Amino acid sequence: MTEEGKKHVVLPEGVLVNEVTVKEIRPCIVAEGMVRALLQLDASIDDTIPLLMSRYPPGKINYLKNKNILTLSIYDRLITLYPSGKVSMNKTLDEEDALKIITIIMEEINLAHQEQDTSGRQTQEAQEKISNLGPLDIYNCLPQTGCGDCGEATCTAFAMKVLSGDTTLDLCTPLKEPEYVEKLKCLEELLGKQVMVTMGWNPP
Amino acid sequence: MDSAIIIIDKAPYGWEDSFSGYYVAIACLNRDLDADVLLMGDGVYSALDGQKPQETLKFPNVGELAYLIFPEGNIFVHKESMEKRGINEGELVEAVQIIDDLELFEILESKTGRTAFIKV
Repeated sequence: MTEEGKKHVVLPEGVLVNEVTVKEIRPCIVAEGMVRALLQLDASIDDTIPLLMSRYPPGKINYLKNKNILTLSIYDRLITLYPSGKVSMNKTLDEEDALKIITIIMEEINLAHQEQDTSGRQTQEAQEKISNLGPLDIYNCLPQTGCGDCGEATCTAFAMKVLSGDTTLDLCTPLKEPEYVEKLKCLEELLGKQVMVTMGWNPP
Repeated sequence: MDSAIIIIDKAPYGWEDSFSGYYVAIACLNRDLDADVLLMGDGVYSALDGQKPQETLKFPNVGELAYLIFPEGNIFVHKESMEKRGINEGELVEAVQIIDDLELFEILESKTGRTAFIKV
């Protein structure tokens, strides 16, 4: 039946969230060994949710601005974060698996919260821009040499995979060449430095 | 059947309808079938935040089941039903969406002939 109120201190030194409580674990009917989990963090993440968006590939996030609800499509499951600190997770193996994944996300929440304190809030416009990003936006800022160094057949395919987080931006070798510095600037303006890093760009 | 809308119009706990309704939606989603829940009439009470039935009734919190349905499925709360009962948006769990009569009409109209309307 329901497993409630199991509190776990997973990040004792966390700047915002330290504990997570397992509120609900519901078995999946058809997928044997899979559960749906509802978790409660020990702090509100209302201010941190918009900042979390830049820490995941745009293709992996879905943000409901009017309710400030963020859904991440990562680790082969949907993870939804609510302002109150509630987190739901589907296609999860068991409670242990849920705790393993939520610990990773809580680390990101704490990092985002820390950045908010040190470097100030990103503007709402920038957040909206990221959530509305399409593969063509990225493609337009690529060198478009069609070299194939990234392992993809076309630069369009590469742009789509970068957006979905299935490949990393640093695999585009022409982007590192001085003659395409304008393209790099184009990407930096489009994405911002944090999203560039999230997409796998390692500044030289 | 392509999708299902589960209509709940009874208050939770006195009847098991709301609990069953949420469970039917979860079961549909587990079978990769689109499913939404529509809360009307006294059914809107099940979306109230901060329910503590475990302490008194020894029954699971129905409201929290909404978090296990969203975002794969929607939980629609009928605005007029809510207002008639003096409930405002801030009192509801975060995973629900309030809809007025026009939006309700548009949702129902958008459903195909292969949508099952299940009133529990």
